[in-house]
Amino acid sequence: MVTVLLVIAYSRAARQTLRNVCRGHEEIVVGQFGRVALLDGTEFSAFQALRLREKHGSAVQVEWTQPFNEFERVREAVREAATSYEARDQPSTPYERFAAGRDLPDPDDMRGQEL
Amino acid sequence: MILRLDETAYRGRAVAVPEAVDPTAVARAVREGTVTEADRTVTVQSRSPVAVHKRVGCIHPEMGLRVRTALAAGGRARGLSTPHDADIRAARETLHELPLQSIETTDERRRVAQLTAETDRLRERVAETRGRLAAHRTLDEPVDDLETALESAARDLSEAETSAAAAEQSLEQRRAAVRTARETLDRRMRLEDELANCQRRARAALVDRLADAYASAVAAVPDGPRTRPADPFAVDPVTAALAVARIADFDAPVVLACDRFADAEAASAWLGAPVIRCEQLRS
Repeated sequence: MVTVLLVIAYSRAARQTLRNVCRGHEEIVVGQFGRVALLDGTEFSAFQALRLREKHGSAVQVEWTQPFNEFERVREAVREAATSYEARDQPSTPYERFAAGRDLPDPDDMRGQEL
Repeated sequence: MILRLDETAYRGRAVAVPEAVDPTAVARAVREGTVTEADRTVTVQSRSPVAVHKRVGCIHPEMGLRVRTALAAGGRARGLSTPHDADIRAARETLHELPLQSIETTDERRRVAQLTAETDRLRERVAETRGRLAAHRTLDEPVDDLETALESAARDLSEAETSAAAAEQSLEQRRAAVRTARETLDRRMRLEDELANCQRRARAALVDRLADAYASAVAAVPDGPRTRPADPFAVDPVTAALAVARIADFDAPVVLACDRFADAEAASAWLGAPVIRCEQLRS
């Protein structure tokens, strides 16, 4: 499983350091969006992330993330609901109403169901 | 102004320090009162410096200068205001009121990792003991000791699992607190960005208003370009700093370590400010 580190900055100073890290080490940057960066799952990325956290404390969030495979994580009914809702005729129909007349999972049930 | 260099005192609006003394140390003494460096003590009694003094309060050939920032600070020293000042004040006040707290979860993370590893180790021990017990039973060998060992391992495992679950829960609680604190950090960051934008706009407005006066001052700097250059912001830092210091209005002494003026008095008259001239750099 390919794991990447998600690093989010919560202060101007932390954002600046994160940008510097990304600029200085393009080889570990999987993606960068403003104050957020995805670093590849290497020790060197971990080293950089830890360095950021050491410097900026809780103004730096580090998460260990994996690609999402819905066929592993999500039951079929939910996947099918997404497909058929996006194929609806009336774009203005909210999902709740769309699901009511069909055999589709109830949004509240889904909210209560952890992956 | 009174400047004391070790035992020697210099008095007046324009003073020349003939000895070898670091001009940046003298400028620091203007700001801080007394500075000791390389066994020399410099004390300066003078009017308090304003913000622009940090930028052009010490003028020497090795200096760097962000000219526009310095010029804007010079504008403030002339008492100029901009339409962005109210926004700047408001953003600063709000920022000041927003708590800046840092919640660490390091101890909790370490504890969860330790207890999870301990649980895994104990789980293996239970499985292993159970396997040995089954093998002994098959071979009709005595099992009393192994039964006791299994019971004790299972008890240890159960305790470890309870501790691990508790640690996991307290980590989750701390994480929730961190998420809440980060909402405040988010607000702070947006405000800081806004503040920086306002400050940039204010700086631009001040530079706009002073651009003409600054260009004239640059042209008037002794040993400077002598004419109004095409881009007065692209001149050398000493020329730029002298021009900004001339435009700005302040009463704290400028420390000079450049050879643009015949003496401290000439410099002081040109700048319209008290001057401390360090003369050893003329070589």
